[in-house]
Formats: sequence, C-alpha cells, structure tokens
Amino acid sequence: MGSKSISFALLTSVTSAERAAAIEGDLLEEREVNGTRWFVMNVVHTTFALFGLAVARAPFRTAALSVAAVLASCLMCPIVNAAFFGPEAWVPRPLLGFVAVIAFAVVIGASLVHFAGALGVRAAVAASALLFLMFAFAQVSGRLDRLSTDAVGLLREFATFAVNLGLGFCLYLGPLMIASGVVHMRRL
Amino acid sequence: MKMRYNLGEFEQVVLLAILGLQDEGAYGVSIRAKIAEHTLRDPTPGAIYTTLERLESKKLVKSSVGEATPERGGRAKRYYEVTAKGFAELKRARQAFESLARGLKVLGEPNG
Repeated sequence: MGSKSISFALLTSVTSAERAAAIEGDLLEEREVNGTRWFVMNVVHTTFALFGLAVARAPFRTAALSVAAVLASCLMCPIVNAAFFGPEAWVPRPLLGFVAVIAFAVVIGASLVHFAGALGVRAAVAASALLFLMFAFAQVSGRLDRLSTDAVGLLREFATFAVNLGLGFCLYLGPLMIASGVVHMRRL
Repeated sequence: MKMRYNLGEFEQVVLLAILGLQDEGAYGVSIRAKIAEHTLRDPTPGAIYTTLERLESKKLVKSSVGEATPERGGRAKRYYEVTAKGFAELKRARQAFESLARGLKVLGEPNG
C-alpha cells in the first residue's frame, strides 16, 4: 500500500500523516482477517469519527470559519456580477453563475487553507464540511416550494438537485480536503 | 480552581486495556482485541482511535512509533503507554466507582 493510497489520503485529511499511516497499517493488518469490505467501511468510519473529534475540539473556530466563508460567497456573487455587467446586474446569470461558483470555491479554498496554517487543518476541513452541509440545505429549501407535481417533472427536479449537490461537493469539499491534506503533509 | 477531567467509561476500558498490554505492546489492533476479549463487545476502530487521540491530548497516554511489517503495508505501528497522570486519573475513577458500588446488595456484595 503506497503512501498515495485513497485510504491514506482520506485519513490524512483529518489527522497527521504519521498517525494516518499507523491507523491505515492497523486496518490493513485486520483486513487479512475481516476482508476488504470491512477495511473500506472502517477507513470511512474512522475518517468521520476523527472528523467529528476535530469539530468537537474546535467548535468556535469551525463556526467562525464557516460563517466567514458563507459571507464571502454571498458578498462576492453580486460584486463579480456588477464588475462584469455593470451596477444593474446583481442577479446571477447562468454562465457567470457557474464561473462565479468555481471562483468562489478557489477563493474560499485558498482562504481556508491559508487559515489552516494558523488555526489548524482540522478546523479548515471541518469548516469546509459545514459549508457543504449549508449548501445542501440551501439546495433542498430552495427547491421544496417549486417542485413539479407530475412524475417526470419531479424526477427532473431531483436529477438536477443531485447534479447540483455532486457539483457542490466536487467544487467545495473535495478540493478543500485535498488541499488541506497536501498542506498538512508538507508541514510535517 | 483547576477543573478535573472526568474519565468516561470507554476511556477507562481503553486505559485498562493499554495497561494489560504493557508486555506485548499496546497498539490499535491489540487494544481492540484485548477489549473484545474481556468485555464481549467489539468496538469499532474509529471509536478506539478517537478515544486514544482524546486521551493523548489530555496527556493521559503517550505514544511512540514502532516497527513496520509487511502485513501492515509497510506502515509503522504506534504504541501507547499510560502516563503517570493517566494512571492517577484511572485510579481515582475506579475508587469513585467502587465507593458508589460499596454496600449495594443489588450487586451481590455484602453490606459495607
């Protein structure tokens, strides 16, 4: 198992590289007896358990980073629109909205990784996960009141929702976790 | 006034398992196996590692890096030891428990 395995990458996003290596080694040792499915389940479970511990250890930092990131997103959208299309263009347009989402993810990701140097990688990872949950909540609440009544429309609504959710995950949580892990490993 | 850290039930179990593994070496797998052997419950690795991290941050246990073996994918083991502070906290928790249980007929013990 190389140092670049997925399980190692997952574990280093929530603990130090040295500890992640020891945990992965323990799980690999038990994989011989319990099987690959057990190994995968427990890599995921251990990652979430250590993530929960990180949130519990730094709840105020986590909350502060999350609120700051969401505020930054809210502020940047109209500013970027206005910069490109003039002061009257405060409503997001489809293409610009997509570009803006990527830009926000990069800016927020860079900010969180920068903060991670001072406040801890765990706080940054915890903040990014909370951001994802807020995004998911916003998606659900935004769609509930305008759901179609026919079956095809309903299916389309949920397909769009799932795509948006996946996109949100790829743009926000994924890069942030990878970036945090890379920064963390370089610090060790 | 300095706040005391109150050990949870599972933290006590983990500390006792580490103490019981002093000779063989206490690391993730052996601690989990020891607990399973003595308590008839099968704690998840996630529960063990979060508890160990918490205990280490409270300086109740300390860890050191050990040897790597092929069946571990070349990964080194992390061995845990109970610190003097950890031992004292464990002793205090056990004394409190015994003091509460003393004299309770429901546990099948004589009146104390």
